[in-house]
Amino acid sequence: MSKKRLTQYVLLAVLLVLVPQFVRSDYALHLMIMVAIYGILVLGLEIILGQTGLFSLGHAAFFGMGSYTSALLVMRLGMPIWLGIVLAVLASGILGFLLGFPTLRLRGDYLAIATLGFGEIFGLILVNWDSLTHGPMGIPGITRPEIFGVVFDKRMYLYLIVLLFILALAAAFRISNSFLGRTFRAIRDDEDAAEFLGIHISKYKILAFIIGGMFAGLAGGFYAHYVTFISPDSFTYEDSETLLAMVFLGGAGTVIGPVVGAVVLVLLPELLSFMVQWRMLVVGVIMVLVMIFRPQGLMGGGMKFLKIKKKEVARIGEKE
Amino acid sequence: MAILEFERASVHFGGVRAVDHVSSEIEQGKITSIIGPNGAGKTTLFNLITGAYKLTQGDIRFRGQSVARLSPHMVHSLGIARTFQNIRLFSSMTVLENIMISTHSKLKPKVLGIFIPGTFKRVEENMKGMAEKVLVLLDLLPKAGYHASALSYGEQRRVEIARALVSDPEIVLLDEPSAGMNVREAKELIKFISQINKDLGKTVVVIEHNMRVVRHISDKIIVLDHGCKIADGVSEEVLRNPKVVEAYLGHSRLTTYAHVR
Ligand SMILES: Nc1ncnc2c1ncn2[C@@H]1O[C@H](COP(=O)(O)OP(=O)(O)O)[C@@H](O)[C@H]1O
Ligand SMILES: [Mg+2]
Repeated sequence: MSKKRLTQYVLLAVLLVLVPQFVRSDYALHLMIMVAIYGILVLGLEIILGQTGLFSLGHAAFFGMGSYTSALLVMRLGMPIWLGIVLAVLASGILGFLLGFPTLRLRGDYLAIATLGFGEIFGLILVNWDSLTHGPMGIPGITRPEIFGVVFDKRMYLYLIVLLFILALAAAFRISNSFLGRTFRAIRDDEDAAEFLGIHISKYKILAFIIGGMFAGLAGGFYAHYVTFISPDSFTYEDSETLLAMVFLGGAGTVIGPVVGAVVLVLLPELLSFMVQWRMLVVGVIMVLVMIFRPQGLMGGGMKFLKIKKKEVARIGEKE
Repeated sequence: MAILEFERASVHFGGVRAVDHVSSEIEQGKITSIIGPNGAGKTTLFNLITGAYKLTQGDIRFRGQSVARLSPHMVHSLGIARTFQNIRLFSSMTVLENIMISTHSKLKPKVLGIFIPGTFKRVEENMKGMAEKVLVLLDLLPKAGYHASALSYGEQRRVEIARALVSDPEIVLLDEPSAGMNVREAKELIKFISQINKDLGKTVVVIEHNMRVVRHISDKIIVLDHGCKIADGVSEEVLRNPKVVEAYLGHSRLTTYAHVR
């Protein structure tokens, strides 16, 4: 690492440690925490949808899986919280694997419908498997983490989630910059061609769901021990939809874009809270405007996402 | 020595006999052209070799081993690489990245390796090195950082060929590589195909409409019509074969094949 790079990192770290010290309002701390949680969540969807182009409408299920796994393991089996969160990551990864398999043969709209159904089924299981999940009542009073005998306060939660977010972001960037990210994008651009070039596309599609699931599991595990109450209502289709909007608003396939999308869509409704009845309308209008004037998303480059290359080539072919 | 053998290879789509009882051989280290009118089943034959379609009947063997049941990525890792008739580059990626994609069969990279700094760097450099080597070969190095869609049609075709070569395959299947190229580009292509055959020792199978190209480069020609093989053998002989002349000229005198004597 160059010296300049190192100083930049050190400065950033100091900033990240100091800033929360000066934030006095619990509400502001809470918003920052929620931004970071959604940031991690959306990075998972970015792998599945943004990089690999797999239209998934069931991302909230991975989030829920992480939350319930950690909450139940800690509450029922008395596991330490950190172990609960690690196992939450694994459980959501396994759920990604299970979802990945049956959807291998589905493309586009059909995949979207299948993942939508998957999310709904997951919700129904949460509601109906009373003996395990407490059904619609949810799980209250989830254990808070402590360190040296001190129970976490908002500021400590913020430090923890920012740390996790930085790790997730670094992992997402590493994936995107490696052969794995290139493979994902090749599948997004033209999966048949990728298969002919020696890529086992089934393996990589499932991998995308596993990795995406694991990100969501991490966010979920933390979330459960932060809000201390979870119920099936916390992980619905609407959350999947919001995550989808974050990816497209920020710019699918850009890694940082969806994070920006998360920042905007978590904070915007709060900033507009003075006009309670109208705020979602305003958010909607802003979304529409962005999609009209920057269809590639706020952070998207010149790349036109999901545009079918074959048509373009056919057009060039005609000219010749 | 025959490296690829077709034994009554057939595939039927409903009533369409796209490829019908084709038996022939591809010689190792030689250039074989597959010719025939549009819809003759040439591309379908490539699709059969590379595992895109399952044979309705018959068998295709690579070095004596049947490839009929393999999926495309497995065929690729055996050492059979191809290009596409309608260019299929990854549009969101640079030329270099397009080619790096195709190194999996050779390098078999491990996913967890990307989180190990040393391994990550080594794999990336390996892939990049392999890609740059073929880019030099195809005179495309200056375009390495361009988006594939920003290239001219002829250049895009060359990127496709580079992508097929980077995995160092045994056999290269080229589907109409000169389509859409101008005369100069086509001439260079002829030179280049001979070069990958002579210098790199690759077995080349090429689907080609341009008879000048076919005459120039082919050691052997296989002629298909309506899914059937109507002739195969040494260039001049095949091109003089009355059946072949009829396949080209019999139906329509307006096709570009009019100059086949
Ligand atoms: N997947 C498919 N389904 C149905 N028909 C097909 C399919 N692939 C090819 N064909 C038909 O097979 C015939 C041969 O096509 P093709 O191999 O593309 O010819 P060409 O010799 O021009 O490359 C055509 O009649 C085509 O319509
Ligand atoms: Mg064809």
